[in-house]
Amino acid sequence: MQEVPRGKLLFRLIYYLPAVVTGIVTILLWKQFYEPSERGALNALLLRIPAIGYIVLATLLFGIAMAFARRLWSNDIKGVAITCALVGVILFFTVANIARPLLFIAGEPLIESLRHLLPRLLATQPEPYRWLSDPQTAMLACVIPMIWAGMGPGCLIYLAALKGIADEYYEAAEIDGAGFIDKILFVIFPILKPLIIINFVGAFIGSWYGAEGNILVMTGGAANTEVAGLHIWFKAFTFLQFGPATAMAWMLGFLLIGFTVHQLRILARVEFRTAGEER
Amino acid sequence: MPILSAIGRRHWRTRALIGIIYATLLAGAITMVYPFLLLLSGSAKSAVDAPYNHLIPRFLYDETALYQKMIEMVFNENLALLYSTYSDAPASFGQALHPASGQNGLISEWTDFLEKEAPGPFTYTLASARAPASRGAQPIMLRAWKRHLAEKFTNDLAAVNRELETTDTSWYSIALPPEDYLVRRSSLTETPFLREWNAFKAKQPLDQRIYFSVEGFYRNVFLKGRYTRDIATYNKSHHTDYASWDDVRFSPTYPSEAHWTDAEREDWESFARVILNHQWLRATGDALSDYINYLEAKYSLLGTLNRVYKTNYTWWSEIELPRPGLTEGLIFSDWDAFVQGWRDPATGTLHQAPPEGLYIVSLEQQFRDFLTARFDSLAKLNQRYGTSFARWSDVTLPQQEIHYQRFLAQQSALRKEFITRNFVAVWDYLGRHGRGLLNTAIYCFLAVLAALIVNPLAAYALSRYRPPFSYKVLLFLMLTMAFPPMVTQIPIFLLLRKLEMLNTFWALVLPGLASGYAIFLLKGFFDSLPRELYESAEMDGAGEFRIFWTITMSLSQPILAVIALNAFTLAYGNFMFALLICQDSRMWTLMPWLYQLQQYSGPGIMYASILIAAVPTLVIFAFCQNIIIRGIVVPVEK
Repeated sequence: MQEVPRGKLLFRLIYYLPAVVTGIVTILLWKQFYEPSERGALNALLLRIPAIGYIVLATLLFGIAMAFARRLWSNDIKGVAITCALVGVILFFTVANIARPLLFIAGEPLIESLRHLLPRLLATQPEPYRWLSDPQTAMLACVIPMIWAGMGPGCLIYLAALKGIADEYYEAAEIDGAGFIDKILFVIFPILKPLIIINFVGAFIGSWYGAEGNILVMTGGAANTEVAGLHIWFKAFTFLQFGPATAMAWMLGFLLIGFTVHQLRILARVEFRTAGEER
Repeated sequence: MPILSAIGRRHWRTRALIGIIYATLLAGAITMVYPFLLLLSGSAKSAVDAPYNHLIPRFLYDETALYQKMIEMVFNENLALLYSTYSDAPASFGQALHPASGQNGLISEWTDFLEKEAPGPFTYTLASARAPASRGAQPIMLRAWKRHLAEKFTNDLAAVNRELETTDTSWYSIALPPEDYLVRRSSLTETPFLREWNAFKAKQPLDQRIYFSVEGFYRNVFLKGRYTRDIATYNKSHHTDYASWDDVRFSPTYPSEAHWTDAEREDWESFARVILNHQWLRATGDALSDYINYLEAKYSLLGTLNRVYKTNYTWWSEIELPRPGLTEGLIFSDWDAFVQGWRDPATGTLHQAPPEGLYIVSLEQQFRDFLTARFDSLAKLNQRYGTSFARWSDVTLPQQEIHYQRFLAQQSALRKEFITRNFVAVWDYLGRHGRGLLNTAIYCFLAVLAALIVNPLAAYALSRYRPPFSYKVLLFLMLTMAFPPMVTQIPIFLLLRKLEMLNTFWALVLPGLASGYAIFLLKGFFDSLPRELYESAEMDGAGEFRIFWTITMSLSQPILAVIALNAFTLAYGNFMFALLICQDSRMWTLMPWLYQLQQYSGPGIMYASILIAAVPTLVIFAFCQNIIIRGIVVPVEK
């Protein structure tokens, strides 16, 4: 959004839109989309994407990760570069794996599969996903609405933070011969690091602590989605075992105390400014 | 535009990069907006279009789709009623096609017939009164019925329940039971509720009524249910050679003539004896002697019969056939057993009304009699209206034409009805079901007020006086954030229970009264205000509260707006905790109500409720957009 010459305001408005639907309403909305028949909104969409669509997406993600890895490698940050490349490989296989059953039918000889590869690239998923009742997709289905709802406001926060970076940094980097990816890696990332870490730790702790309401509404804890928070909630308020529940909650607190302390330390180090001031 | 260099922007690689950024942004934007569009179009759904996900609902531009939705609404989402009413009924509402022409001269004859004959309240049902498949929708007649009750009983639900002997717990839960007065199991006994409902029905216009068609019921529901929709199957089992179902005739009397087959006679008999409601069935004098024999076998002594029937017959031969229109009591149930067949336990003899002694009255037959009296012959009728009926039995009730005429005349009204009716239902649910809206408004107001009073006061104290333990206090406040919410939730719940504050606004507001994070933010903000302002205010003799109010608070409006907004969003979206500490439904806020609505509603209602729930946040976003954008807090290294 920062880089596009036109339409910033429009994109900003659109991206904020999901934040208008709050809490449980988001979940209820997505629950409607997760209808398990082929007529369910999400299934209807996914059943139209051919195998080649997933392959292209997987390659694209791999390509982006590799481009970052290459720049990191050439700047002698080899450990991170390898991690980045690994992430790219994992992303590639995760996304391409969706298309695998369409291309290689179980039990079929590899030669036979390769012979039919071309027409199968246009094949679509044969049956709809049972989003909330299939343990393989249920957890993902619980997470997607949260990403959808959080992405818009998240984008706006990063946009505000990006505005706060002085142009001189970019100019200096450019004079040193930095490209687009270099500027992201070596200018933007270090400056936004506190924000990214705060957001990461916040989201990490938040997902441990605050997911139970959403999952309760979405699946009720079925299909392997009974997370720690929900388990404690059930224990306390359904089975009224307050003692063990409180103990479990404390245990959870202790497990995450490292993250919390880390977050507090960062919070103590930084000061918050409203984006309005920086303009 | 700092990341992309100003130099070389016209290079194809830079342009391609910008193109990719645009494409990604666009894909993201579609992901953000698409669910909203589905939400919007889904809010007009009923059962017939529930499975489809069109961004623009089809009924807005497609006449057939609108007709299907109307037919579904008219027939109360009841396919059996559609089958029995229309002679060429489609297999489902989604396959309904409107007739070629809505013009039919018989409509005026039919209106005349209804005015003159005025068939009773059990011969028709009201259209658009129930929506069992759409779950939760409130069709137009149900709304009119509720309005009628509300006016008559001055909004007193207890009075409605008392007078009509109903047990509705809320105005929203008032529903109309299915009316199927074609089948035997439907009782015609007038309860207080039915009396009121029948009087209401009688006031409704003709195009809102569906008259029961016995002939349609016989052919399209009873016979097709038995022998499938395939006429070949029917022909095979009946040794007939009908070209289509339209040729299958219905006989008002027992089909004893030679051109009927035994299988057809058997169908007629079981239809008349077991299936058809008694209001359409009559007996001739031929049945009387068998009836008397049956009663004699059942009661043995006339005295016993007189006692239980409360009659004073002196001879068995004085007994008459029960009068038509009898709907309850022992005489009626004895008559019903006689029609179906009663086996004497002592002798094993079967006592049964002779089939020749039974005949069926239908509105079709009455209408035909009416037309015969008016036109003498079918040729004259055909000549008068340009129709081409070959036999009197071809004349059916012109109900499909009446509905189609209504469709042609009210297309835009129907569209408006389908767009708004789910919203009306949700609004009705929220407005008249408990105090969800009021509770939410009060809770949000209190939460915002509390957040704007408690947090700034704490932050002001820490910032203005800079106590030596300020950092420790702040850390302590922040530490509350570090605890898992379950750790605090359980003691809060137990504490509130002990203080007997559950199910009060105290329980909702008190736990979130102060927020460590908000105090931290505010303190940082207050710290950045110039000290000179405070000094000059002190010199001018301003008191502490005045300094706090006129200087600190008024200079901190952007951050206060953010805190108020956060407090509002948290309170508005509070579901789990709100439900936990306020389990009494009178204290429920909007979210528990929506959650409950979702449990027993169809997708149309759900989408509409989500949209309604999004309105407050959307309005706030629309009006406070600038504040939100300006108020985004970004951490900066000190």
